[in-house]
Amino acid sequence: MSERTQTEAPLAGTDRPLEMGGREFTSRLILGTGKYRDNETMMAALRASGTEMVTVAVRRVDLDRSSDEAILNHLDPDEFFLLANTAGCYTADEAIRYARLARAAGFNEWIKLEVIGDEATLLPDVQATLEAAKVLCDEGFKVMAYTNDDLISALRLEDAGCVSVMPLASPIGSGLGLINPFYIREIKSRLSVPVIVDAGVGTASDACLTMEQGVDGLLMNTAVAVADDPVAMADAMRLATRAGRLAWLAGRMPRREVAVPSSPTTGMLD
Amino acid sequence: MLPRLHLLTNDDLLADERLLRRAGALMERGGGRLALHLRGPRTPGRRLYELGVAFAGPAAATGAHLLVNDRVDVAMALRGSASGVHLGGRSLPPAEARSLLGDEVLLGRSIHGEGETTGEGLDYLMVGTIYRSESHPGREPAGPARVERLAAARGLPLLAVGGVTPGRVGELRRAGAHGVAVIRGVWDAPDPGRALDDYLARLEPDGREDPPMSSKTDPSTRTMTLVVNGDEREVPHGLTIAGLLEALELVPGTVVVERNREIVPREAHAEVTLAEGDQLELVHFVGGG
Repeated sequence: MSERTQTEAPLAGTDRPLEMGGREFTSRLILGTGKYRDNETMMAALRASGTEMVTVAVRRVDLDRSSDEAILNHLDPDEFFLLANTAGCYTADEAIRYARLARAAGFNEWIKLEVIGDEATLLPDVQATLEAAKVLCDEGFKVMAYTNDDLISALRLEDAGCVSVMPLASPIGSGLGLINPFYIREIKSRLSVPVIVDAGVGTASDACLTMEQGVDGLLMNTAVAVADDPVAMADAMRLATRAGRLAWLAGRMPRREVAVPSSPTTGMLD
Repeated sequence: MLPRLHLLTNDDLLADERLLRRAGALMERGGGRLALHLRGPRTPGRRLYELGVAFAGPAAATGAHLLVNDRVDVAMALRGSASGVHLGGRSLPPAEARSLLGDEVLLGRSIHGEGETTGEGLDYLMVGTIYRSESHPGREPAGPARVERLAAARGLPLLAVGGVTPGRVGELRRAGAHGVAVIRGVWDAPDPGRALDDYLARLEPDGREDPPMSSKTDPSTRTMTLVVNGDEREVPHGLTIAGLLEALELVPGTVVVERNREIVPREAHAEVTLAEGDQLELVHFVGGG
């Protein structure tokens, strides 16, 4: 049986834009801007990926000028929609503080909320994430919340007012791919807001497989940034994200435990 | 840092309805390098206060400093909108003014004789009358040598006033003046904006201010200690957030400032004067996932 819904029938391989928080995005791929070996490579990769939204982190200015890390020296905020994150925060208060600083930069009121609960796995502290999400949504932020692949947490985050819920495919930076497709499908089937799978994609097949679950988009960083050729990988991710999306929209054939011939069984020679 | 160009007014200028427009244009031109003094010995406090309120916006928008002459009460009523107070010989004693105004406000004083005592708590001195001036026709000009002697003796930044034309700025700076104060040199110029530029160019020949972190080379300047991104920094007393960003050579539009855990909106950077012990976080966007 097809996993797609009636409302999203494909039109000759076309897709609708991703609608989220009152904005429309043609690309369903969101890229991070960390870990690239240099800014030129990063910019080339972002462009090759076709992404319209990129994540950035909030950090202290290096007053000794030992590094040129101000990303806006390289990245034009008119070319890419900036999604600031709260990466590295371990408490709700900390994440709220970072979100407010990010908004004061003056670009938009969107925030990728992540509150980490454990240093070894970087798995999210869902309770703290929910707490911060409530405060930030009340303050008018458009919150995209990074969370575990847990349906109940996802529902709570949607109730809190998040514009998107972002369950992980597998731990941040692990490249393990989609560990639990069933849970991701559960979440997608029960939420009204877009579900973006964030973290864990390692290569193009992971991206494609994840999109084939029917989710609305993907957010990734490491898989592209640390590939031997980040620009080629960005292009691959663009194609894979789109391929997975179209395959899901097209509606896959049912799985059967028996073989069924593709060619007519009649009209064979005696 | 203490601006090098101080533009004074008089009672006639303060009564002129065009003042806001004219001075606003000059503030825009001078930005943080300019201090406008609301000076009018016979102007009522009410008028001074109203002008101060009217100039608060332009001052905040341009980074220009706004100083009130003599009237400590008016400056207090203006709260954060006035950067400081300039005292005269008939004003409150500096120590009293300082205790009323607090440590964040720029405080200076005029002196005319070299033997004149100045009092405690001052950030700068204004020394006159250096050249023959229409504002003080009866005074015998003291010449740049007075600046030189006072600079050595008093250990405070000096502003030279009285008949200072752009052409005289060079010798005053060489004599040790931090900057100059003018009235007619700008207001009565055929093109006040160009006159302002001329003064500024000669005061800062390389087009930029000395870094405010100059306390090491000039131990006499009053300084305060801030904690910026976790590290202690000595900066000049009375520095604004805009001044700090400028001194650190940061592009203001890309940096977000948190002062004592509260975000200071960008529009307020020029008007927020920092205080001893302030904890500042300067953050920006970096690459991240």
